[in-house]
Amino acid sequence: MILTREGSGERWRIRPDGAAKVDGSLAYLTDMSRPGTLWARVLRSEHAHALIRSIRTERAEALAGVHAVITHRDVPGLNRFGIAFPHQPALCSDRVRYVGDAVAAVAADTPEIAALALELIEVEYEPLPPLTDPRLALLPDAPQLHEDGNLLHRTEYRTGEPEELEALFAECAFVVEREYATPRQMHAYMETEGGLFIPEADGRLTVYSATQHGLMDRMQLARMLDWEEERIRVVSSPIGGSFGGKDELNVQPYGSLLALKTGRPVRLHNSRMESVRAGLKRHPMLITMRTGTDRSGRLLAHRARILSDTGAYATLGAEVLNFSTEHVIGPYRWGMLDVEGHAVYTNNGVSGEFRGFGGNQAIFALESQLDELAELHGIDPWEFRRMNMREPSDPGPLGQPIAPTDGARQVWEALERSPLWRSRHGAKAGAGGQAARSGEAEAALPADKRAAAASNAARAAAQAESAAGAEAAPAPPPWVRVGYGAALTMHGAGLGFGIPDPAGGILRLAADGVIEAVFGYEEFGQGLIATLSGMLIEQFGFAPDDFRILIGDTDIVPNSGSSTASRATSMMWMALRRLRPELTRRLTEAAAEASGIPADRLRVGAGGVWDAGGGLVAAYAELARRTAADPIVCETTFHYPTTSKPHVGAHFLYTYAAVAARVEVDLLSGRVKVTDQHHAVAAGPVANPQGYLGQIEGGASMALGFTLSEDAVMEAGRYATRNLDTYLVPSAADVGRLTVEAIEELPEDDTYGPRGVGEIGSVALAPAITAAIRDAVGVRVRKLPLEPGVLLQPWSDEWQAKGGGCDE
Amino acid sequence: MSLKETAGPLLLQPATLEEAWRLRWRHGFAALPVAGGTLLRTQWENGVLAPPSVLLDLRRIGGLADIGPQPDGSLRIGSQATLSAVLKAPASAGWPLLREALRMIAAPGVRNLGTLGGNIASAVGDSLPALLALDAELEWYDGASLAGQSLEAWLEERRAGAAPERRLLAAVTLPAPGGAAGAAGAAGEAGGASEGSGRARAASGNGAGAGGAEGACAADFSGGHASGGRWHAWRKIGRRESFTPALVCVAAAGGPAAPVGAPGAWLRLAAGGGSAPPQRLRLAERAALAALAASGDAARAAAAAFEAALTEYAPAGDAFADADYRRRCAANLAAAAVWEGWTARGGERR
Ligand SMILES: Cc1cc2nc3c(=O)[nH]c(=O)nc-3n(C[C@H](O)[C@H](O)[C@H](O)COP(=O)(O)OP(=O)(O)OC[C@H]3O[C@@H](n4cnc5c(N)ncnc54)[C@H](O)[C@@H]3O)c2cc1C
Repeated sequence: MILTREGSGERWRIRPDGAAKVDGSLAYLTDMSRPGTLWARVLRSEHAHALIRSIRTERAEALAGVHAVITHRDVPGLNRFGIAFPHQPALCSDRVRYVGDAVAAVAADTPEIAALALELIEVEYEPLPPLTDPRLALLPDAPQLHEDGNLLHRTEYRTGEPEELEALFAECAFVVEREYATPRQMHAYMETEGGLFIPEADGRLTVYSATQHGLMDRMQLARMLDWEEERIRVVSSPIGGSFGGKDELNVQPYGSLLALKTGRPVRLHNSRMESVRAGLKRHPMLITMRTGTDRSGRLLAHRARILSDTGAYATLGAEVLNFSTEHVIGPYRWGMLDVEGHAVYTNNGVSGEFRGFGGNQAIFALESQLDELAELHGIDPWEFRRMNMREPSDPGPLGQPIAPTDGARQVWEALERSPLWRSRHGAKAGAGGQAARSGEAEAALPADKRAAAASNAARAAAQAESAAGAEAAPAPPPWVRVGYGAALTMHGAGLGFGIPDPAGGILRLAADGVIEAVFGYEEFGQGLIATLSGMLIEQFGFAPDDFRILIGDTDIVPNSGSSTASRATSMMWMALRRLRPELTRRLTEAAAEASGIPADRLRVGAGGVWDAGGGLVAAYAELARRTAADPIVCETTFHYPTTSKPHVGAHFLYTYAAVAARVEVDLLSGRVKVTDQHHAVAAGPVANPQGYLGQIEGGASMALGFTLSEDAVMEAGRYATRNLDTYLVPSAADVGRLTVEAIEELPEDDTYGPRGVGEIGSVALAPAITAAIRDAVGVRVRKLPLEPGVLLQPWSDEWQAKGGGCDE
Repeated sequence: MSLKETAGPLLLQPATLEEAWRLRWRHGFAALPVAGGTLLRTQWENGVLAPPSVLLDLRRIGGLADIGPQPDGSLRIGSQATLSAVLKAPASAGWPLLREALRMIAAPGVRNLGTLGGNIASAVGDSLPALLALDAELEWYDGASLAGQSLEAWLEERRAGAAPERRLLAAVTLPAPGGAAGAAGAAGEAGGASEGSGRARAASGNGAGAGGAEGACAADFSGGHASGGRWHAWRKIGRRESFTPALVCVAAAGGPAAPVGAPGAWLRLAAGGGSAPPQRLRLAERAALAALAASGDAARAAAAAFEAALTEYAPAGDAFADADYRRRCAANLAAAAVWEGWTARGGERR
């Protein structure tokens, strides 16, 4: 099913929160204020790496309008945070490890006074040489960033002994060994970090600040303040985008500490530059792979080494590396595997959780290897993947049992059928066989294989036409080369084996007769409210006015776990499945009591409970009155489904995707334009067509930036790209055409329902684009983002071979 | 926000150029002229420039935002006209090259604030190559009088490291659209220096709006009578497709298109982008015209322009694109413009 607005009929619902977001009237948490609110600012490190000799705050404190200055001395509890491993200082005492490290914070009457106060805080540093190259981190003479050294985490997965693997490589018909490098991508959410922090009259603290897991923030803040968790209320939605970037604590420690110290509400909101400086980024990775095949093109041996630059602190760097380790293997059958990963500390900012979670880097490397091997064999790259593809009942990448689905084959076939991917054949028919330009990689290629990557100008016109479908594009000029590429992937959802992954929710009939759906998930733009609304309407038959959704408030929500890892939609669906029998039973029983009609002749629907003849028996408001003494409350708690193999982080539920891209490479500038994308996604039932399409489009746009333009450039541990004028996310003009095909079929006995699609759109596009570039101009790109200089070619008379002039 | 901003600079809002000059003089040139403030703002934010203590707001000066056709067919644009206003002004329709260049600067919100004068005075704005190819003339106010200076001459001073400009930019004038390209296409012009060769004297024939890079076939020119065959090209390469300053931009204007190699061919080429002031590519122009005259072949002319531009263009690199990339790219773009122009192919951008 191609997802479109037209094709979705009434399931295409206007997002309840859409209009206010579009017209700007929606108040985010960072828009909130209270009378008497103070403004806070954070003093961050001047150095990427330094010892702190002293911190003097007296002059700042003496400034009129300053109400409090805090340093490490003001943290009553654990002066550390980190979701998985709390070791990042909220306020540094003796050492700074990146330019975003906080040293002090100020609360003042105005933001201007707060800014001035920062200038009056005297910090004496002793600069240390920054460690900025992750390749040097594990060498003996590298500066040691933490007491336990520079290694955050090491992973390993082997299916044989090293000698066996070597022997297998020796048997291979072809072996490809390459290094891949990926950028430090920034989440670039529209709303930067911030919030409002209120010390309440009853001695509690209310934190209005975005996060992907309110209860996790509450726990971390309680630990820092040395309080009971229940004294803190975290209100965390709506959120102006997160993509993983607001999963970890950011400004909450400073807002909370200052609010408690001053006894006044404190407001704080990062500027974009401060957000860039302090915020998380995607882990840059260097991945080397050695991959070999037998004579017939079957994958025999695969060795992968992952070096992940986790920056100054851990946050979820270990978990991201686990994910990469699993995803460098992919939906393929292998003879033997040998994967090893290292996540190392450096003074390059902090890397952390980000949509795709280490899959993006891994899949780029793996799929590029497959493409190169297919070419060596002279086998069509898509056919090559089919030959090596997993079977539905095969174990997962780490040999773990997984929920069996036929997703890999489904998306493979869907892409094979897609007009976009088919059009490459039409394009090839006209091929004249211009030899590929040989880049460094091609030196090793046998001459006859080089032709496999041939492209020529004659193809261009035909390709442009077929790809554009109905709208016939004019022929590109002679210096534009067209190419097609595709990639395949499986992407795990949930946190994986060995990590607490609670799920649950509450449905209840409130006193005012409205059904309340209460979940601990967050709305950060992904359309969660619309998706949950759709499920309530479709699963229960409620009318939109019958229910109210309560999320993002730790005082009222159950522990549903984090809104991460493509899990929220699955978890809501499973929770509703569990809650439905009980809720309908209790509603119909209450109606039966009121009406005398047996409950088994009644059903739940719009506005209330109905009889078989189509008459409304009892409105929800009436049922609420009748059950006032014993209100109807249904709650479920369960755990995200996990695999049984004890390999930490190994997944059980997977989404599958295949992506094709058409590119135009401009030889004049070396710039690449992705004109068309087709995404085939197998993720079970579509819970919300608009949200699904939006997730794939949004994820794909992030992947496009990852491939073509986005990189938070660092020079000696400092950001060279400090704002969105130099850090470039794709604009609408960059995105081109995109279609999404959703494959809903699951095995009959599958009980897990919709799989998440929050990340899958962002993980497989990069290798499809680089494969298309190879197809177009014969150059293999292994370092992202692409440098146009690599593809630019000097002006050539031959480009105009097809002749110029239109009317002489 | 730094303290200096919060304390706020002194804001001066003169009503005339004379007053502006006097105020500026009184503050010892510490008073920084501000038009839309859009470029200045990024410079303050990036720390390239410290926020000044005195701001001289030019927007209240009467008549300085006027956009008007002149009796000689030229177009005079006041320095305070916003980029949007220039784009929307009916009078600018005869200079499609300028419109194309402006349309690709920043985004609508910035174009509503930012002025053409600010773009020019910055000496690095993306409008400059287009204005060079249009042979624009600047009008400066130096406290005594208004004086003209060719944009090319002014930019050459910038490139040579002249002291910061103290004069105030009042306006920019664009000669009548290439009417002269035909009229002045006297034999002997071809291959010669193109100074003034496209300079407008009599706007014969070509109606406003004639020509354009999009489908710049000769046949697209209005009526194709009189001096038909005038063409132009505008190419901007950034790090993404829109809303980004140029790494490289190239503008070209030339004619006539047909018959190829006919005497009277003329060409203006200019390149810019990045932190170095844009440059008229005189050597490339000459090389292309000579090749065209000798061979009658647009491909030869393009190749000649490419080779010459490679040696002639001297851009500056930064963290995102080195000078070598910019140079190679500009030479390619110049060649493509020449080739398309004289083969009347056009249609590169779709
Ligand atoms: C997000 C963003 C994107 C941008 N993208 C582009 C782009 O794609 N291409 C591009 O070229 N620019 C771009 N810019 C820069 C800027 O918007 C334009 O150059 C704009 O035309 C500048 O005009 P202004 O009126 O705002 O100039 P201002 O910022 O007011 O002034 C610019 C400079 O000119 C001086 N000045 C202004 N007027 C006069 C005068 N009459 N006499 C003497 N000196 C004067 C000022 O002192 C200052 O040095 C971008 C800016 C932003 C914020």
